[in-house]
Amino acid sequence: MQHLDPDAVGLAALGESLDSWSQTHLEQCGACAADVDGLRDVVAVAKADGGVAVLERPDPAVWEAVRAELGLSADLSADGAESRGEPPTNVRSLAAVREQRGRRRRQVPTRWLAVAAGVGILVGAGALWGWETLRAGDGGVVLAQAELDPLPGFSGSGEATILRADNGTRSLDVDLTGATPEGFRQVWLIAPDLKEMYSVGLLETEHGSFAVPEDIDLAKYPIVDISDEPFDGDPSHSSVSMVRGTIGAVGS
Amino acid sequence: MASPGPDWTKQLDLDFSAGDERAMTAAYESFAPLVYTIALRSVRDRAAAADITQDVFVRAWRSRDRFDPESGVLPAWIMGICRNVILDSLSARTRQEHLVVRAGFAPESGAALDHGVDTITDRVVLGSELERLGEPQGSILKLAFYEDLTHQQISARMNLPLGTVKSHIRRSLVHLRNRLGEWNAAS
Repeated sequence: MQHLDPDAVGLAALGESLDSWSQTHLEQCGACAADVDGLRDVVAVAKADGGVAVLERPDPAVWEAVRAELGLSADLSADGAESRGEPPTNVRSLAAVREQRGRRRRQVPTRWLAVAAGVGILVGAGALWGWETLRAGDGGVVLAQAELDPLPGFSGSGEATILRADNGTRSLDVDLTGATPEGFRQVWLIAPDLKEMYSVGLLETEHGSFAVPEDIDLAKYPIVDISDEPFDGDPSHSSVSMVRGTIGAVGS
Repeated sequence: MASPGPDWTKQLDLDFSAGDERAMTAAYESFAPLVYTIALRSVRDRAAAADITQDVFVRAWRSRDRFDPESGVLPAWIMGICRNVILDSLSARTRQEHLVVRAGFAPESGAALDHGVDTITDRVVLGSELERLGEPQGSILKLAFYEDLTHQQISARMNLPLGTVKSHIRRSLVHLRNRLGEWNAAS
């Protein structure tokens, strides 16, 4: 007997509709139904709370307490606790962001924003950001740099650089490849709570340079975000972020 | 059996069992985020989740002679301890209600409480495995799970051939099912 195409088993587990032959077969074939059920359990677990389970790292004091209670050697360190930087942001604060933005926007893919925000912050926390005061050719002094990484479902990567020109003005230089928008690309500086942000310009090609007024405190708006904006005349963020990076300490 | 942890090896199982403190450090490093996150989602209290995490690893080390590296892997064994410590912590009635509401079960039976912790554990473990899938598999599955996109929509969104998306969906679901089974093997 011919059985379901193996890939159709995966789609059926996700609840997608099958062609009529496959559907009829699935209703009659115990073996194929069992295959689907086995994978459906995974789907049920994943979808149970409608969001990515963001792992949170306990405070380093917990390891210290374990080590002290067990009398382990003092030179042992659970090194990731320090080297991986700050623990990821509280999941509940992301829910608050989602609510806030849901009220402000007309059409917000709210679940997507929450997923994107969670991953963006993880990427930001895990990535290495250092500032170097290097001469950058004739372009001025590099104050800070950040890698731009794609959010789930998007491709593309690049780099964001904060420069101080010889005349003292600051700029954000963006190099980005592979992130193709459905509308157009807008460049933002966003606060870590994802509630406040500045639009610094539109990115037409793979490279763009944008003025960053001195009064914008980059410590308060460290997230460089490039969004896909529809041509709808709405000046607010579409909530569709394609790539993101976080600027660390900014030199002066 | 393959060990479920990211960089966890059979040798570390053996070292832990033999009392090597470096293996204990590695175990904490690898699995404390999972334990803490499961605890946090179960008890909804950061201080209590930190206490549970501490308790799990203290118990794991003190009872390491009961861990048999020939019959199971340490991550699954730690998950078993985690489950017991959380259930102990939740024994107070007020917290029971908290958990069962969170997990979507009626707040009466002890079985529901067990099921609630198991469900949360599965979700968190699955989430961590999803992060390790690699790309484009991870993004494909997240779009299917959390955005309810069909394989056609995912194909369009990610600019990947339909057949590739379908194949990744099936292979990744099978992989995740096997991983969940390994995590649960000793608990």
